[in-house]
Amino acid sequence: MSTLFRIAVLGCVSLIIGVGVNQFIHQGIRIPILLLALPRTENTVDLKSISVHEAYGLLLNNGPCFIDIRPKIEFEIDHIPGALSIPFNQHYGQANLLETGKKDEIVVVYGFEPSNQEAELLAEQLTEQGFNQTRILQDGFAGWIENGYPLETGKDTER
Amino acid sequence: MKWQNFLYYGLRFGFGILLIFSSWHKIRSPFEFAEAIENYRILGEGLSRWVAVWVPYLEILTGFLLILGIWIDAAVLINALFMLVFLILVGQAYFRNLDIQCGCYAFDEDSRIRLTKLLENLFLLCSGMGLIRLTFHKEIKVTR
Repeated sequence: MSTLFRIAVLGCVSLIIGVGVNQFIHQGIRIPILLLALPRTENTVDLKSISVHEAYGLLLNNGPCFIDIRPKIEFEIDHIPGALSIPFNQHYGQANLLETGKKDEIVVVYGFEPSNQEAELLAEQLTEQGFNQTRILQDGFAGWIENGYPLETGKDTER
Repeated sequence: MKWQNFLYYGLRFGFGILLIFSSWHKIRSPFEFAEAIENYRILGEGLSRWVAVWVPYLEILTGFLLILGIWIDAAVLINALFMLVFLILVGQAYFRNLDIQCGCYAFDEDSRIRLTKLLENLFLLCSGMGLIRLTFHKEIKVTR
């Protein structure tokens, strides 16, 4: 067997093992996240956004369901009061991101930066799963902090 | 010669252990490794994730092949290729003054890119080339 063929075999085998193992290990890079690197067709989902001021107004009136897509460790430092932690890296591509009882509620998805692409992807997925009132927090968590709106620390309650 | 044999096995086992050791933290924290790759500002976020999924397993596989002596020709070439790629990555980061973690053996402050890291990679590349020479020299002798 030629050396080049062996190198090619090793390359392919390690890629297959790598992709496979990452589907099962904690904090592994799952296939849906890997596929984000590939060119994708424009999504037809029409996403709506919400300003931090509007979101704060809603929070005062019984509140929408806030979804924080940042890593858990960042979420535990501070987050919007009552928010649920659904880290993008762990949950994107999963079925049943939220309990179906929340389908009629307003769901506000946020990452740290304004116009966060990962927040958009997760919001798209929620909309596809039937959460039709899904919104993206326009200025992200950064905008929320800038405006001095209240924060909460610690873990979230179970979804 | 005896010293050549000693050097050959020393390099093989040395690189084998090094590759297995360096792949371990990358396998355990693939997202951190992807971020470390992205910090070199050569690959985008998406491609970095593919590399983070692929490279640690190629490293560990190569490491085991070097130790076990299976497909040794391919293993020493992949090993040297790794060292070359690492040197290029570290070198360009050093000369672009990127204050980033190397991501080679751990994701901590101590692994930041300095001149010593560049020299370390240069030394590893030279050793890897030496291992190729010793391996193919040995194979030619056996074939004859």
